Amino acid sequence: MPASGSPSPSAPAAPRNHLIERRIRVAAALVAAGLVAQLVSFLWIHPLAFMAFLLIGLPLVAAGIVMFLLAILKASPPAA
Amino acid sequence: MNIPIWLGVAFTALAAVLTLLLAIKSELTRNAPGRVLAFLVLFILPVMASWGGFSAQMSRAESTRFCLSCHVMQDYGRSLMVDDPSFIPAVHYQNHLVPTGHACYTCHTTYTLFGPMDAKLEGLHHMYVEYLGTVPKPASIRLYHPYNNRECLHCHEGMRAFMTEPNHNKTPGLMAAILSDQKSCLSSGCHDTVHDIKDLGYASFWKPKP
Repeated sequence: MPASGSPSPSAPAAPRNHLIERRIRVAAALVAAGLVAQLVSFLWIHPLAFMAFLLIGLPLVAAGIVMFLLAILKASPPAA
Repeated sequence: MNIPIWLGVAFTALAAVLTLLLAIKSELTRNAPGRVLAFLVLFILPVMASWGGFSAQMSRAESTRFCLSCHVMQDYGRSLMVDDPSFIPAVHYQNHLVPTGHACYTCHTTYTLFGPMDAKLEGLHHMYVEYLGTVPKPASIRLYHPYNNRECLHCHEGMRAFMTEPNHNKTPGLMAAILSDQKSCLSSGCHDTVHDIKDLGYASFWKPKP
């Protein structure tokens, strides 16, 4: 039985694509938010800007990248 | 390699725009070129942008402007402009004996293998105290460790003016004691006037001509 949220390889292509696209959309939104936070942190030379980069920008980008990698890993068909 | 900040910002902005495009048009990833694009936009570009951004932020954290951006440090910044050559930081700053843009870091990092990392960790501790702890009065601020001669000798060791200075050689063994940190450069009677911010009220200040 496939894990929850992971469609089996025999599942119809359209819903499967839809699920992958939704994950990629969320991952892209996280990465975009992180990159925007990083950009905003460059407006000031101040310890708070440094902390915003470190505690908001970097974790958001990292979360988005991990989510994207998980999405493409789960999307790949199992080896025969 | 020192990449100009505007180039890094432009790169990050481009990566953010492409990522947003992918967030809006995720159906682009249905074919093989789209998946390659997704890998580029959601992995390669953000990693490069974040690495470059981190490096730039670390570099900015070494700037004089960064250190003096906290209110508690402002008197220390003023002490760099005291018009008195006995003030060691002032004479170094005003004569460009240290890079003025990185003056605090130049003297307050430790010149050891992990010195720059130690300085960053101490900087994080400063931030913790500034935002979550009890901020001491500026005149009560003390270094975490006694100032090590190594930081002075990083530039001065081997300098003719330093090695031949009569006061550094007036007693046998004094130079060896200085070089081995047995006798502090900041000892009483030597270079003992450092920031001395409690005396700034009586000091006059040098104003460079524009």
